[in-house]
Amino acid sequence: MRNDRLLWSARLGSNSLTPMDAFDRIVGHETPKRLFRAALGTDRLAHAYLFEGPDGVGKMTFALAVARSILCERPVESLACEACRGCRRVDSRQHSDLILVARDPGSRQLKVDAIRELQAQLSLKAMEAGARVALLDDADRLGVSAGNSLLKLLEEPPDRTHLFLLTSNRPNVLTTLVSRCQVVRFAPLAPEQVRQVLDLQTEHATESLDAAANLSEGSPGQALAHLNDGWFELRDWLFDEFLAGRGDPLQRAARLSERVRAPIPGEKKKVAPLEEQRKRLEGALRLLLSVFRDVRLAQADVPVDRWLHRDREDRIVDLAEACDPTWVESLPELATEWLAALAGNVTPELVGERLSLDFQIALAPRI
Amino acid sequence: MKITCARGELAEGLSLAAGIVSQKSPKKILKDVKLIASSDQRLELQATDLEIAIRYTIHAVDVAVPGEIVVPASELQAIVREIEDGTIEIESSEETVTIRFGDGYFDLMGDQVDDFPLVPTFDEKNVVELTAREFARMAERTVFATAREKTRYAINGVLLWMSSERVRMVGTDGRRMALIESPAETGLGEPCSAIVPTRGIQQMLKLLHGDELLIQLNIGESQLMIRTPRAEIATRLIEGDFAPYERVIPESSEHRVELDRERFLANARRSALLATPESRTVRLEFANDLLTFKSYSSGVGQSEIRMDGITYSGPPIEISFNPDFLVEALRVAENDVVSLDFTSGSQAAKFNLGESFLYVVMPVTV
Repeated sequence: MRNDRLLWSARLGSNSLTPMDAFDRIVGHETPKRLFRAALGTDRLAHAYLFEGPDGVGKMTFALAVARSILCERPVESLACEACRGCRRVDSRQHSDLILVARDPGSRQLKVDAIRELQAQLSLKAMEAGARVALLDDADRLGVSAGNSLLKLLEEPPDRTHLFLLTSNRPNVLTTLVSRCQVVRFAPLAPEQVRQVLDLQTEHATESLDAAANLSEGSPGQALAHLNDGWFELRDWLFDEFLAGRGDPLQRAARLSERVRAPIPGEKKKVAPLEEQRKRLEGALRLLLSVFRDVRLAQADVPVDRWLHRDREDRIVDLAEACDPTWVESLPELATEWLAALAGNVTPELVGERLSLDFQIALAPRI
Repeated sequence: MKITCARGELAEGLSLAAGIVSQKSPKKILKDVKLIASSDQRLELQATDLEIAIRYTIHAVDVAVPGEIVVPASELQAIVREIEDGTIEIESSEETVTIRFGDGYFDLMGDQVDDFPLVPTFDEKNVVELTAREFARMAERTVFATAREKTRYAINGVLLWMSSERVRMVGTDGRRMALIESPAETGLGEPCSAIVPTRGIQQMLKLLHGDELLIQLNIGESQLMIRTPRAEIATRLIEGDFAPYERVIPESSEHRVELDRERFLANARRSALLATPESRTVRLEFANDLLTFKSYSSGVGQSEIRMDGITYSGPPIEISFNPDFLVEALRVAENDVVSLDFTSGSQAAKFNLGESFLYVVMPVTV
């Protein structure tokens, strides 16, 4: 999924009057664009930035655009030329002076070893461009020792080195780190902007693009993920199987568990790894939450065009009639508990059962 | 690209290249080797893990179509190693690279030539010449003293200093320091220095095999380059300032002892057996031509080893060292009799271990 992130930076139409620069390729994010055009133009780039914004909103795409401008071999007015070997190798993430720090696959935390490796690399002189760029994803997933290690690096940054910390969960980033970075906020895009990105990126049918754009909460990455990872199918399953009227809550839980534990296609193991199960259950949970957000809007008589799942209006209306408004109102609170349990090492199976029981209360025919 | 060449020569170059490519980097391109065939009938191999880079030239290659390819190094090396001796033909098409030999062919998927990092070229200016043997000798006598903890970057390497007549290398970890000098065969106008990472030095040693071959050294903006007739090797330098090592060398001292290297080393090793892992300490007591090694390990035991026949006539004096610091240095010492200059148990001691080979150790104070 990560590799797809770059995709929506594809060039927009070339019929604009002013020449395109590195940032024109990116849809939205006007404030960060202004900030970095000015910083690059006056050669006043900070040594550390914290990019915060929802998952998939374009932080990495944007950071790579800045990286291209820093590492470009023939910059045009301090911005990336987008054509030289340097720019192309930043795009393919192979540039020698571009260091990417990310979690190991399957690990929930960014390990201290990754930070030490970054420090070791930064202790050497730049390979070719003179400047170096390090991109650190999931800055909120740093363990204590990794955080402290990084703190040391931020306190005594090597010359001509620019660090970009990316996070979708700023409250979880160590405050000591935040205070040493210039914070840049990436706001969700408008649905039309997400749609614009999707148009450039995918060849799905128009109506699913519309739905994906609406349901993406302003994040093109989410929208692409929804289109590609069976999110729509999951939604249908939730409507048809999970939320469909009566039934034994434990059977409901078993169905959910079966779905969450299903093996990853093409892999030998008969059960998906725990981390994958967590991810799936969290995905289902968040989807349920967005459905019930609409249910609540329906119960409050908010017009359909404000709903996220307006393409499933009938289902939302059914649920709005079936569910107790007080319960729907209390759902976000319940959801916080489920998510906390999931993040705190409670098995996905157990969280699934709890979830099913809670929904049973809501969906049981009212007496 | 289309070339024909002898298998043996290519195999040799590829085994060097494959030893350098990165095994763990997330950048796939670093697992690759780049082949450049030029119209002057040369084939150049390039490989790098971004810390160390090599260019290896094979002459007398039949280049039918010049060009460049980038292919996975370990696969290509394995193929060239396994196929029968004779000539090999390598030809690239749009996406694949075909390796033809006597009885068949292999098709390898190539990678983007453009993605391959720029491997630095040797700068003809500011060159110092030295034999490979001398370079290896100096490196081996300083690398052992460099810092091992990963947090003190500026001393995680060897300082290389070159001037019009001399080449100097210094290794230190903050508690001891090894310094060695050698006359350069051809020197520089302006002295210059750089910190070369320990790993880079070790890789270079592997590639050099100490022989009488003359090698050329050049310190560039960001790397140290070494040129041999066949290959150019570049190591990225460490950013930062090296410790002010000259200040550490004691200018004068009150006592001098001459010691037989082998006996001194053997006794230091014996004594170290009962030095605790927590506080590696061995006490040396000098008194009237007698040196006594004492070590003590709480809850385990103690030792006392006498070494007579030394030349010491001053007052009785005690000085404690980390035995590992003694053993590691004495192992690479060159003189049969080494001298130790010291003043007291709390001031730096200086060993003369060989020709222009100095070793300064801070004593352990208890």
